[in-house]
Order: sequence, then structure tokens, then C-alpha cells
Amino acid sequence: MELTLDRVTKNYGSKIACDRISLTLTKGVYGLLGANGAGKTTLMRMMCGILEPTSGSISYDGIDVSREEYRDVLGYLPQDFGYYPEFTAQDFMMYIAALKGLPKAKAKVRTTELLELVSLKNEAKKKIKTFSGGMKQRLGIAQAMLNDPKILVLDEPTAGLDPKERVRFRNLISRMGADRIILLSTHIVSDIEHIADTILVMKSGQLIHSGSLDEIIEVIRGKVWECTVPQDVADMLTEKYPIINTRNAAEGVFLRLVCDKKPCENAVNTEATLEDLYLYYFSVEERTDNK
Amino acid sequence: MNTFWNLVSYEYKKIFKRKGAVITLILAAAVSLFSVFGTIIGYIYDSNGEPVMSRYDDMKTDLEYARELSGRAIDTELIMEASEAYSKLELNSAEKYTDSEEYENYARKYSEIYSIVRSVYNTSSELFDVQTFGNMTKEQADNFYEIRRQKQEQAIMQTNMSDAAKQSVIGLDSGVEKPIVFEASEGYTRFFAIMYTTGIIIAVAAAIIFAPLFSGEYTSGADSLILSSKHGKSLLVWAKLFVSFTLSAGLSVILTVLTYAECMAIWGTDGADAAIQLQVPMMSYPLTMGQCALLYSVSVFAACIMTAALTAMLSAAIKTPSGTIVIMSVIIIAPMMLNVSEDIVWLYKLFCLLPSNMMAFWCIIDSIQFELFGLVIRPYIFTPVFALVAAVLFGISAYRIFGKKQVN
Ligand SMILES: Nc1ncnc2c1ncn2[C@@H]1O[C@H](COP(=O)(O)OP(=O)(O)O)[C@@H](O)[C@H]1O
Ligand SMILES: [Mg+2]
Repeated sequence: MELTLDRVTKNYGSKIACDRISLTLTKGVYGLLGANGAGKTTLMRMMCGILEPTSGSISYDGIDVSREEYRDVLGYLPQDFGYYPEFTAQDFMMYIAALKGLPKAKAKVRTTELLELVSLKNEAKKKIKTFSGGMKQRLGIAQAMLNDPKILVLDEPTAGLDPKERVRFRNLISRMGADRIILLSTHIVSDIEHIADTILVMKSGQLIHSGSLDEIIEVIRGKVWECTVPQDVADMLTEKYPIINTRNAAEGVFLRLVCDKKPCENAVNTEATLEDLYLYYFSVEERTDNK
Repeated sequence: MNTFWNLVSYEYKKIFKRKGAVITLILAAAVSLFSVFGTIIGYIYDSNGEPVMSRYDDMKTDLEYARELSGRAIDTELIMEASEAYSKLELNSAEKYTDSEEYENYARKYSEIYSIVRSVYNTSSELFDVQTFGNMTKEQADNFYEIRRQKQEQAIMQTNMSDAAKQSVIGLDSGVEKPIVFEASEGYTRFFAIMYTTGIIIAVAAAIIFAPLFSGEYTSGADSLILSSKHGKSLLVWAKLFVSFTLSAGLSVILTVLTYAECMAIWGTDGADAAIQLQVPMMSYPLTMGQCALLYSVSVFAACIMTAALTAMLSAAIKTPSGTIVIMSVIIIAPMMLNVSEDIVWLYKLFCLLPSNMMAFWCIIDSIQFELFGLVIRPYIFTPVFALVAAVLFGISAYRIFGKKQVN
């Protein structure tokens, strides 16, 4: 079970949305992290065969992404997609099941199971046009799983979910990751921090990091500092270093920042988190943009 | 196979859940009904604006007269008899001759005979009017078929077809039995005229119903789900094309049968075996009205299938259903306002292969033949075969285009 991306590139005119991305995915949960516009959706579309790469190739155990056999083992939740508003949730699931080639009897069983799993059992007979954003999103997650896919690609699956639903979703993904490849994209760190075995960080079309949480954080381990300083010192530090967090405190300004060495007298070294890493890259981008 | 039928049923479901499609179907049936019954509703008015009789009764009278003459050969005797009756008309410019008493009493009975012989005796230099008809000589009547033959030959020789095609068309006329036997056949006459409207209605309905066949998925945003699913780029596309084929075929058969039944019910079923020359006297095809009706219906059917397939292809290629509807409207309606000269044969014949012209009777029984690789092919054969081949090609293109659709 191996999904291979080989120098996958997508250009829109002179804009490079994905830049020579090479990856090998095996069983497990992969979290694709990146700011809006980083190229996550573009990459996922190419992995689902609905967008042809400008160059490069994608295959699963030697089966090219353009083949029917590939789509047969694929489950995909697009970032934004349309439903048939006149269809009920049940109709919709049965229709997608037909598209995926499930026999009717099996489709019925799967539909019932999955609607229950995403807590839409009681809404099965309601028309989709009456659904809230979160309900639609859950229906989208359910349809992706209909064919018990070997490759599950979820583009911003937690968008529109409330905190309780997010937790349920995370648990679901953790359970399912045992025997398939799951790739989910997000720009919210907490979505994947605890469930992704491997974290992929994308920025401006490039894959800048990939590895386990520990490996990824290695980049800034020991470099995250917290301090509370007077306003003028705070201004000086903000100029010089990537700031992850700042708030006004009684004794001055509280700062959390990334720096190779102790930035000021009273700075305390703290444990780095994925959020720090993400914001670090994000702020580097902003700081260069501002110049 | 099960999956295929399952997908087909969902496609039908999607179409019939759209109000636009359902309204279009109902409208198509209504317009088609009205185009038939509209011609017999209302009254005939005299010069003072007073109603004289209902159009329906008027039509009945014509029908009875025609039936009285049914079975009689159009020969010297009948032509002279008709001429005699027309000679009784007192012609003055104040009144239309058809409003006169003499017309009602003597000539009207032979009006159909007049309209047949007129197209033979008419020449570009001299109009064969009512007066000329009344004064015609027995010798002229004797020469009816000879004059017809000469005129026909002349007309064909004047075209820009190849010699082989010309000879083949001229040769056809020997198959037409002479003298031509008169038969009441108003039902068929009407059918040939009204089927054009019916055909256009079916084409327009097909364009509206199938415009969203593929592009509806683009606009709804379901395309990313469909194209990433196992059957989305293959079986589903065939299912969609199958639906556009069956639905347009069904629509075409139902409306054709409806039009035929209405014509037969109102104007009578007489004339199935009558020669088509009663309707188009100069024609050289040895065909009966019934055969022409069948050939014409087959062409309209094929043209509808082609229109649906073309719509499907455009729907796959164009982002929105409205784009497809606009293009299809132009394709269907523009040729109705255009005229292409027969002088440039290939251009003229291409023009005959546009959907709306395929639905015109004159294009199906046209004397100008299709010529391809040295073969001379009758329009009523070439047209439906071409339409079906084109439909298959459009279908395959739709398949290719949708399968390669990029979501971005
Ligand atoms: N159809 C398109 N035409 C031109 N540029 C596009 C198109 N789709 C995406 N892009 C550009 O490619 C980049 C990556 O977009 P996307 O993959 O949607 O990012 P993400 O999903 O990470 O937010 C963006 O800069 C976006 O503007
Ligand atoms: Mg995105």
C-alpha cells in the first residue's frame, strides 16, 4: 500500500500552485498543513484525478491516478462541492454509492451505518437544501467513506464543524487510519496535532517539511521563549524576531517568540508546539512581505 | 449492468426533479396539440366581417368533395371536367373568385385537381390562372403527362448535380404509375406540414432538457465528487448519454404519433396508398403518402437524436447550461431564417443537414441528391443515416470531453 507522488507540479499561467512535490504515503494519517493559498486543494485535486498535473506523476501501487482502479479505492471530500438540493441525505448517499459501483443492498447498509456514524441518522430522509453547513460537511465526510477507501483524501474536513463534532471527527479518523492512507488538509493546527502520524507543511506551493510531530518541531525546539518586558523592549524584539503570541500584562508586554538564543534577560525557554512552528513560518512570510 | 441501470434511473430522477424540464415537456405537448387544432378552430368571415361558417365545417366540405373524386385517374377526362367547371366562374376583380356562388356550386369540387394541374401547366412566362384553366383545350389536357415530364427533366437538368445524379433522378419517374390516381389525402398533406412544427418543438425541448446534462454538474459543484468516483468518467457518462437518447427518442416518437393521430382524426385516414405526386406533382420519387410519412418521421426522429447528442456534447464542453441553450437556439432557429441557393450544391446540401432543416419535408424529398464518393444517395436515406452517425460522434465527443474535465 503505497501512494507515490513524483515531482508533481501544477502551474496556472505563471503562477506555480504546486512545485515539484515528491512524496510517498503508506498506511496512516497524514496532516497537510498550510496557509490559505499554499496549494493544498490543488495538490489534493491532482491526487484525486480531477486535475491533471502540469508535470509529474501520481500512482498507487503502480496504478496511475487516471485509472478507474485508482478511483475505485479512493474516497474524496472536496473543499467545496455541490449537493443536489432536492435529494435527501439518503438519496445522495445512495447515488454516490451507485457512482462508486456498490451493489444496492450493500449501499443501503453502508448508508445507514455511515449516516449513523456522522450523526445524521434522524435527518436521512430530509432534503439536503434544509441542512446547515456542518450537516452538509458531515454528509460529505460520510459519502467519502462509502466504498471503504484505501486512500481517503479530505480537504479541510473540519470546516464548519462545531468543537464537539471536531472531537468526534478526530476520533473517527484515528480509528480509521490503521489500515488505509488518510490525507487531510487544514490550516488549523489543533485539528491534526494529535491524530496525524506524519505532518506535511506546505508553503507557496512547496512542501517545506514532512515528518512526525517530533521531527517537525525539531526545527524550533529550544528556540521558543516567553518573557514579559516593557513596551520599548517589546517593540525592539518584535522588529527582530518572529513573534508567536503577544498580549498586554500588568507588568508590561507578554511575548512568545522564536529565537536561536535567549533574546532578553528574563526570557524563559518553553516547550515548542506545532502551533509555534506554524506561526513561525507564517510570521516569517509576513515579515518578508512587509519589507 | 445493474450499476448502469441504477445510474440511468438517477439521471432520470435528476431531470424530472428540475421544474424547467417538466414544464418544457408539458409545453411541448401543448404547443404540438395547438398547432394541429389551431387550424380548425374559429370561423370563416365574409367581406362584411360576418361569420359564414366554422372553419371546421368548411374543412369538412373540402374533405367530402375530395372523397367524391377519390379513385379517379387524373386523365384528359377528369382534367376537362374540372376545366369545364372552372369555366363557369364569372371572374371580376371586385370579388375573390372563391367567394362566388359559381365557385361553391361548380368549381370547388375540383379545386384539388386545379391545384395539381396548375403546377404542371404553370410556366415562368405564363401563370396558369383560373381563367386559363377554364379555357384550356383538350389537346393541352392530353399532353398533361408529357408536359410534366418535360418540365421535370428541364428542372433537373438545370440543377448543378452531377450527370449521374441527374440521370438517376430523371429515371425515377418511370416508377411513378400513370395516370396518377386521385385520392383524398388531406390528412397526409397536413401531417407533412405540421410535423415540421412538431420537429422544431422536439428539438427545442431536447435542447432545454439536456443543456444541464453535464454542465449542471459543473454549476452545482458535484463534478468533483462525480469525476473522482469509480464510474464517474465512464459508466456514468454512458448512462447520461443513454438517458438523452431514450428521452429524446421517446419524446420524438410520442409527439410524432400524436401529430399523426391528430391529423388522421381530423382530416381522415384516406390516402396512405396515394401517390405523393398529388401533393408535389413535379416530384419523381415513386413513393406513396404513407411511405413518405414513414420516411419523414424516421428523419425527424434521427434529427431529434442528433440534436440531443449535440446538446449533450455542448453541455460537456460549456461551463453553464445557459451557454448551451443559447448556442442550440441559434443552431435551431437561424437556419429557419436563412436561404441557401441550390447553385452551390454542396453548401446547399450541408444546409439541409442542419437539425431544423432535417425536420422539413422539402429537405427529405428534395430532388437534389446527396453525392458522396461517387455515390448518389436519396435525401430520405442520407439524412437519417447522417443524423445517427453524427449523434454517435457527438456522444463519443461528450464522453471524451467530460472524462477529461478539469476541476479548478
Ligand atoms: N483555477 C485557478 N486559476 C488560477 N490560480 C489558481 C486556480 N486555482 C488555484 N489557484 C492558485 O493556486 C494557489 C493554491 O491554491 P489552493 O490549492 O486552493 O490553496 P489552498 O487549498 O492551500 O488554500 C493559490 O494561490 C490560488 O490562487
Ligand atoms: Mg484549499
